[in-house]
Order: sequence, then structure tokens, then C-alpha cells
Amino acid sequence: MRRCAAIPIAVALAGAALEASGQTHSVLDPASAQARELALLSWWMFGIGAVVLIGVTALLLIAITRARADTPAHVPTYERRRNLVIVGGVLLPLVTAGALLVWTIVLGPQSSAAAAPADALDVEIVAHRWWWEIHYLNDGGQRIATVANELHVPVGRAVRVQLKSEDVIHSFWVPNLHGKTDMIPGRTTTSWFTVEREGEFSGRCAEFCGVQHAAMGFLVVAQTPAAFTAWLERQAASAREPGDELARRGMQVFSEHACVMCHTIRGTTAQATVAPDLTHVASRRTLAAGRLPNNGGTLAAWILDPQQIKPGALMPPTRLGTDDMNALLHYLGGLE
Amino acid sequence: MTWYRFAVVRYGALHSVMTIAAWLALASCSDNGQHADAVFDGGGSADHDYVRLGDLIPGGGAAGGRDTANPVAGDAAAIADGRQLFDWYNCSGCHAGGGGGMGPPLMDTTWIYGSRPSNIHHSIVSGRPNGMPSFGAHIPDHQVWQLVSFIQSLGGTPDEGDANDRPDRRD
Amino acid sequence: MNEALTPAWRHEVWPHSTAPRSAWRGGAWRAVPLWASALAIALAIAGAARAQSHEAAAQSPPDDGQWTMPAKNHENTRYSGLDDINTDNAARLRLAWTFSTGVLRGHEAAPLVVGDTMYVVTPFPNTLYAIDLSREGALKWRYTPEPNAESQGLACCDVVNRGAAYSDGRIFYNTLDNHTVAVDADSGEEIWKTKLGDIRHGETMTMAPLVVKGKVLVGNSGGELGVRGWISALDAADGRLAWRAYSTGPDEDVLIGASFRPFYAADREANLGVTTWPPDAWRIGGGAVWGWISYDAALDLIYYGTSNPAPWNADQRPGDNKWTAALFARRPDTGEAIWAYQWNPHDAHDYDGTNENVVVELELEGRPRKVLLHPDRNGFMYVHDAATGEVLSARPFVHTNTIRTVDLESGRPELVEAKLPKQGQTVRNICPSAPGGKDWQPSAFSPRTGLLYLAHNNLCMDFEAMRANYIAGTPYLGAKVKQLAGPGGHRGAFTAWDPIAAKPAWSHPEKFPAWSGALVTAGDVVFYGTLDRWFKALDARTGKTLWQFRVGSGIIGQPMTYRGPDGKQYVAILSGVGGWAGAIVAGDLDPRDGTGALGMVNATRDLPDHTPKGGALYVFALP
Repeated sequence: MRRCAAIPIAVALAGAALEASGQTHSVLDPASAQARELALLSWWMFGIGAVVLIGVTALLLIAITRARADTPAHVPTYERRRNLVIVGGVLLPLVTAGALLVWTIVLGPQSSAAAAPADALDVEIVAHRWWWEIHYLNDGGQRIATVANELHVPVGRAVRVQLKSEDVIHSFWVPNLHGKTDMIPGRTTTSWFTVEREGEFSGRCAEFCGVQHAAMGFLVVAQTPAAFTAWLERQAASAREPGDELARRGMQVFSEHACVMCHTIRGTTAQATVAPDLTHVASRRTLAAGRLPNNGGTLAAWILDPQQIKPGALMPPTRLGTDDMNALLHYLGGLE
Repeated sequence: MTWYRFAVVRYGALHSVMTIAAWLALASCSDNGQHADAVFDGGGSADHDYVRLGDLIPGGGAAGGRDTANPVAGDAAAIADGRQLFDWYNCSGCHAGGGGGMGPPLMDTTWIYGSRPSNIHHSIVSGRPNGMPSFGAHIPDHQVWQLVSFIQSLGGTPDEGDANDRPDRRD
Repeated sequence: MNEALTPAWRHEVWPHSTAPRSAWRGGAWRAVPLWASALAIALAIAGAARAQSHEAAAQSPPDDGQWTMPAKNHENTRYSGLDDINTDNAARLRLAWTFSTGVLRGHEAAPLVVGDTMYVVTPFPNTLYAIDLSREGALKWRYTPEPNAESQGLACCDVVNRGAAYSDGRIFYNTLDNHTVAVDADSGEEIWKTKLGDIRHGETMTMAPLVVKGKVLVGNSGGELGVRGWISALDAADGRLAWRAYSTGPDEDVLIGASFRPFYAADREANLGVTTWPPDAWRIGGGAVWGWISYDAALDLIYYGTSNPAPWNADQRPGDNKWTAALFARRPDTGEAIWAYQWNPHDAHDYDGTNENVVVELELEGRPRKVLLHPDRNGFMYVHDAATGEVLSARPFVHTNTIRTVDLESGRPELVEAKLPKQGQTVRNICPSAPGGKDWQPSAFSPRTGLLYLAHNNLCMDFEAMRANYIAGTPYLGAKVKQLAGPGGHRGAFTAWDPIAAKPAWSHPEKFPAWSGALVTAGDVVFYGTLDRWFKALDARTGKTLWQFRVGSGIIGQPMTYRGPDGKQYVAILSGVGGWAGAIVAGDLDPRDGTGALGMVNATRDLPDHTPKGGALYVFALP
């Protein structure tokens, strides 16, 4: 049942446009201390490289223009040539590359997790195909809240992420905040960053992980510490009880269909763990790991046939009639 | 559905139109909250509208009833999908890797409720009296058939299908 | 005092597992804080006062030749004062009569004898038979509760039932589909039937109730299905729920209140049943109460333990996971918790805390002390102070490599990191395996020999942990396990354990896990049964086999003894292989898949060659 390929492509472009609008996704626009250092190193490398390129090109041009047919060949002495090679070909690169090497080596441990301050916020992130499971931990390593696909962090406080993978190798990358860190099944890798300004930064998976690797994005929202604390408290709470008859019907629809086989809504009997936690799904800005904006229409589309939006995703279509869908959306829309 | 998907694609500018279009599309769907039960979705007269468990047919006549074939028979990918679902949906919690435990083995040739694909499908969807849960609408029909394919690949039924040549086993 | 109980006994005989210094708590008992001693004394006085108002019918009877509860008495000693059968004549035991139960699953119950009637509860469908002992085993009546057949799909370890309890003219027992029933002991009429749990949440009931002071104490099963464990007290008169204490969750649900005084400081914070779990994980956290309950009248405390936490994959539930795999001491009237102790914080090996806590008085350091003897699944034999819960001693009774030692200062086990299962990896050769050094099979204590007799396991396992997906009413595990024989190659043993010396007095290896209960008598004979169809009588002091009889099917039941209407002493046992150890036979499992029956198939592939299914009662006597 192959549909026109234009439609998924159009969706992808729309998604890309969505992500590009209002959100930065650039290594060269650092928003954290770590990203700033990486950007600085990158600029220096670029600068040195540019200087070398310009210098070499200039020398080449000089060589080309100076060599005219009517002048006697001016062959430099052996010593002259040798010194040129040694200085220009060995010492100069050694010095510049060596300086960059030393800088990179020094930078490495500083951005590794061991250098994170003791009061860093601990977050455990487990990558799945093709979504992100996020647990906030307290000082004792206890999980206090579980969310999916949207990471909120307080501005000015270090955040240490413990990265795991449920299935294949993924990679955690928020260009504005830090470099890529692989997430390898059977291991825990770590990274940390301190965001310096408020804003929303998009991240994505940076290691090919399957058919929807390109659509495995997530959002990092940097908030003031007070706003962050309020958000975390809300996420830690159980789901809101259905407020009216329609929402109750929606909750019933949720439990009568395939939803309960994979999703969790804390506070109900739905506690399955193989799909994103939906306890506060209405509070998220996007759906399907950054693929769609979060509203009733896109949610309905996603539930009815995820395969049209993210072909190969592990969520099956759920055929619902109008009334059932209406009730379900009303219920899920209340889960803020 | 065409209106509806079209509206989804044009989200950036037409949010409200998309929402409205979605509702219109849904309203135009013919079924009103009835999910089709794949086992009983028509085909044949009402007299033959049952799933036949075995071969003991009184009167010595021809076999009646329905024996739905596995639509993904012969699909190695379906076996792999079925293996993952077998773990996800906790089938392995009762049936282990096919050897059984709380539930009976699925890899041997003893079948309490029939070994045909349609019987296995029926067991999963409707449940069975001595403790097999009824998964009903909780597992979409195509996934039930993937599970059936995987179960057949365990070797206890006449038709094993094409086994995945890269089983995702760790030990 | 019996000589066996007073060795040249110093504090050194209670060593820590590995420390050369004398780390035994008893050696330092003089340093026990004054408040603890005062509390113990106060409790003892209060308990004595309560004991006097105690209903005579519910008190453990002096040996009158009856057997009114599976463990013989509230203290769970399984010791009979009958001594007609003794070490001299046991070799002449012969079969007196048999009774077929008509069921072919695992028979774990203990027959009861009250007056001239024997009562037997079968596995699902949980029929209760009343057999007339005065008419040579004629069937008096049967009661069929007709439990919901779907509950069979939720029993992790075969559709067993561990027996009934008698009190005040009534027989009380549980059905697999979460009902507790009260049946008139004379007529077989149902008096009341109370529904306590829901199969849609994965709950079942398999344990034998304990009746204490007019309350029927029962608990649920389902630690493998993510149930929320509880113990409930029903009014023996009308079956109404008097109180229920959950094993996880906020203090008010666990009935932890002002009277709660756990011995170890780390157990004293508020709401540990919530804070030691990820958000809401305690609602599906296990802690089922499917094992044994004991009671001490003087202290007025019931003792019981809770099952493993759910899921088996511990990486999904960081934290201590209280109060799973833990011991509770509660008041039977109100259920309020007096103290608690967690044997296996953040259990990662399925080491349920449901094994028996035998209440005995031992002479320790020159004075009698009331203690609980508890052989835990983790392979350690614990001795607790019965009043405070303090761990006096913890020594391994099987080969173990999961716990280095139990720190007697903090009460916490020191875990071996290399033997902790990790998600996404397979950890090999973990000893003891999930059924533990000893599973449910209850031990017996003889005050004459001072020894604790236990049928137990010698198994290790390979454990692969993976993500568990919770779907109500289905297993919640996240583990693939294969079990194997422990060191020595034998998969079980029957051991006589000296609790004061903290080491075995003697031990018999068994080919298969020894999964039956134990019985010890004043004739110094100890009885137990094996999976390969032997019912054995051993000399309680020396371990010499006095007699054995080949029954029809493997034995996983609880032996008992009684005085018949003719004055003779009889010994009875149910045979019918099954339970977790016998699952490959009872469930007709396929031996090719070693992960079957939670890994037990890998260790019992040869069991079908030794026993078929069965279901019969065997009664023996001297000629």
C-alpha cells in the first residue's frame, strides 16, 4: 500500500520548517558554557585553517605569477629549500596542530561528566527507537519524575545526563548545548552542561539507529530555576483525574484499546513501559519525538495512523470511531 | 482520509483548518465506534461464520466453518516482529521462550485449542477458559498475525514459515 | 535443660560470616541500649497480660494428637509430641490407607486432623475433603468452592494450595481466585466466602491462613505479576474484613503508626514504602504475602514476610523498595506494625521474604531468649530477637555468592556487585538461584534436639535482565533465567541446622530440590519427601535413614502426624508433583526451552524420568 512519496516528504519539510522556526539548532550559537568552549575551539580551528589556506593559496599564486618564461630560473639553494620545508612543513604545523591538540585534550576532561559540580541536576535518559525516555533523579539517585521527548533544565545550574540505550546505539546531541555523546546498549555514558540563557533548543539523535533516525528529535527547554521547579513538581505528580463524563469515557477508550499495552499514565492501571510516558502529555510542545506539534488534530492523526507520519515507528494504528476519538482526545488533552 | 492527511501536511499555516478537516474526515468514516473483529468480519454466510477447532465433524460430511489463513505467512520480517511483540506483550512471561511455565508450551506439538493459524489467532484474541487472557482489541489484528507467525516458527505447528536468519537472541 | 542446647558456648560461636573478630550481637548484648531491654521487658509483660485473655480455642494446644493448622502450632515448629513412632521402630512403618484427590497438579497442603476427621485441600479446583478416620478413611463430605478457572493462568508456580486452618468448629482456607472460605467442620456447609482480590490485577491466593484470636489472617500472591501485596485479617465469625496492611505505599496503608519501632535506624523514616520507589512504582511493586505467618502469644505479635519486589529487573526500580522482601511484626487485633526488617533491600534475585519465622526459645549466653529462626531465600539463616527484630546472627546455610556478609550493625546485607543482574546483560552462576537456598518448603524445629530441620535447594542461575512491560493481569518480570545445579551437582538437600552453633549438624544431599515440608516428632524421627517419589524417615539426631517408601508421584506436601481414633500414631503426606520445582511435570513443559518455568526447566530436565503426575494422600502407621 505505497502512498505517494510526496506526502511524507512534505510532512518532513513541514516538520523541518516547524523545527527551524523559533528554535535554534546551531553549534555556532552556543547557549551553555561547554558549547561556548567548543565553539571557541571551533572558531580558532577555523581561523587557523583559514590563515593557512589563505597563506598557501597566496604562496601558490605568487609562485604561479612570478614564474615567467623570460626570467632565469631562480633555484633556491638546497639549504633554503630544506629550511623552508622544515619550518613550513614540520615546525609550523607541529606548533599549530600541537596547540590545538593540547587545547582539545585539556577541554576533554573539563566537559566529561567527572568534572560536573557536585550539585548538578541528575537526569537519566534512555534512548529507544525512536523516542527519548527521561527520568529526573534526586540526590539519592531516586527517580522523582518521568517524561518523554522534552527535557526541561534550569538556567545556570549544571545538568548531568546519564545516557543509556534500550536497543541500538543512539547519540545525544543538542547543538546549542554540547557535543554528541553516544548512548550504547549495556553501558551508561555521561555528559554535562550548564545552560546560560533561557530558551528552547532542539536536539536530535546523532547516530544512525534505524528507519526513523532522522525523526528522532527532542526539545530542551531552559527555564528560570523557579519555573523549572514548578514544572518538575507538576511532572512528578500523578495524572489528573478525568474531570467530566467525556474524559471518563476517554479514559475508558484508552484502557479498552492497545494504548495500555505500551503506555503509562501514572495514577491509572496503565503502567506499561515500552512507549513514552503520557502522564502529562498535554504539557508537551511536540509529539512523536519532535515530529509534530502537539494539538488535538495532530494527536488524532498520530493515533489513527502513526505509520503515515513516521513509517516504521513501533506504534500501530488504532482505528477509533468519531465518538471514541473525541473522548480520548478530550481525556489526553486534560493530562497537563 | 485524503482530506485529512492533506490537512495534516499543511499544518504550518492551516492549524484550524486541519483540525476541522480532521473532524470532517472522521465524521465521514462509516463505522461509529465499532472496531472490526478480524475473525468475524464477514465473508461467508452466517451458518459458516465460526472458527473451526478441529476435524471432528458430525455426519461425516465436508468440513465447514472458516479457517482464515495467516496473511503474513512466509514473511520472515513478521516472525521477527512477532518475536519482539511476544516479549513486549508479556507472552514470554507465561510461555517462556516457547517451553511454557504458567502457560502451556507453544513449541511442542500438543495444542489444547488447535494448532491452525486461525485457532492460535482465536486463542489470542478471545482468550481461553483456563487462564489465557483475552487480548481482544488490545492487540491490533496485524500484530496478532505477527505473533501467530512467530509462534508457528517455534516448530510446534505443521507450517513453520521462514525463520528469520538473524534471530535477536543474546545467549 | 537438654545437653544439646548448652555447648561450651561463647560468643565466638555466633560469628559474623567472615569476620575473625567476634561480631555476634549476642556477645555484645551487654551493650544493647537500655531502652531496647526496657522495651523488650515491657512487651513481655504486656504480652503476658494479653495471653491471659486469649481465647483457649485459638491457643496452640498441648499435644492432643490433632493437627489443627499446617504448621502444627502458632509458633510454626511443626513438632509433634507423639512418640509412638521412634527411631527403634520407624523401620517397620507401613502403608495404612490412601486417598486419591482426583487432581493431577502440585499438592503442597498439609492434611489437618481434628478429632476423628481429616481435612485435605487440593490444588485448583481447591476441593476440601473431609475424611472419616473412624471408618477407615471413608469420605465424609466434600466442599467444592468452584473457583474461577481463569485464575489458573495467573499462578506463577503451579496452581497449588498450602492448606487450611481449623478453629472453633470451622475450616478456613483460600481459593486460587482470591476468596477465603469458612466451612463448617462437621457438615461441610459453607458459612461465609469473602472475595479479597482481583484476578484482573494478577492476584491469586495460595497460602494457608493462620487463625489468631478470632481473626483469619490471609495474604495474596502475585509478586511475578506486579500486584500490590497485602495481608488481611477477616473476622472468623462472619468473614468481614477487620483490617488490611499493604506491603508498599504510604505509612497509613502499611499500618505503620505511632507504635512502629524498627530496630535499625534506617528503617525509621516516614513513608519509606513510597520514597524508596520511582514514582508510583510501589502500586505495582509486589510484596505479596503468600508464605507463612507465625504468632507468639506472650508478645502478641504475628510475624510474616513479604515477597520479592516487582519487576524482577531491579534496574527499573532504583531504591530499597520497601517493604518488599521484609519481615513484619504486627498486632493481630489491629494490624499495626510494631517493627519491621528488610532482609533484601532492592532485591535483584527474586529472594522473597515469605519463608517461615519459627518462634523458639533458645539458651543464648546463659539466658533464655525468644528468637525467630528464619531460613531466607538469600541462603542465610537468620536469628532475630522476637521482640525487637534485631538480627542476632546471619550465616549461610547453602553455597552463596550474592551476599558477602550481613552487617549486624546496620542490618544490611553486603551485596556482591558482580552477581547483581544488570539490564541488557547476562550474569552467570548466581548462587543461590531465584528459588533461593530454600523456598516455601517449611522447616521443623525440635526442642529435644535443638535442631532446625529443613528440606532445601542447592541451585544457581544465569540471569538476563531486560525491560519489563507492565500490563495488568500479565507477568511483570523483565528477566530470562536458567537455573543449574549448585556446587556438588546435587540440586537439593535435607539439613539439620544447629541454630546456636550456626552450622549444620548433618546434611543429606538430594538429587532434586527437596521441595516438601519437614516434620519432627518426640520420637526423634524427622520426615520429608522428595521429588523422585520417596517419603523418608530419618533419625533426628544422626540423620540416618530409618525408613523410606516409594509413593506414586513426587512429594511437595507437608507431612503431619496424628493419633487416630484407635489410639495409634499415624503419619500422613500428600503426593502429587508440581509447584515451582515440579513444574516441568505438572505443566507438561517442553524441556528444550531452559527458560521455562522461570528457569526451573533447565535444572529439572530429567524430572519427568523420575515421576509422573499424581494426586494422592498416603497414611502410614506401625503394624
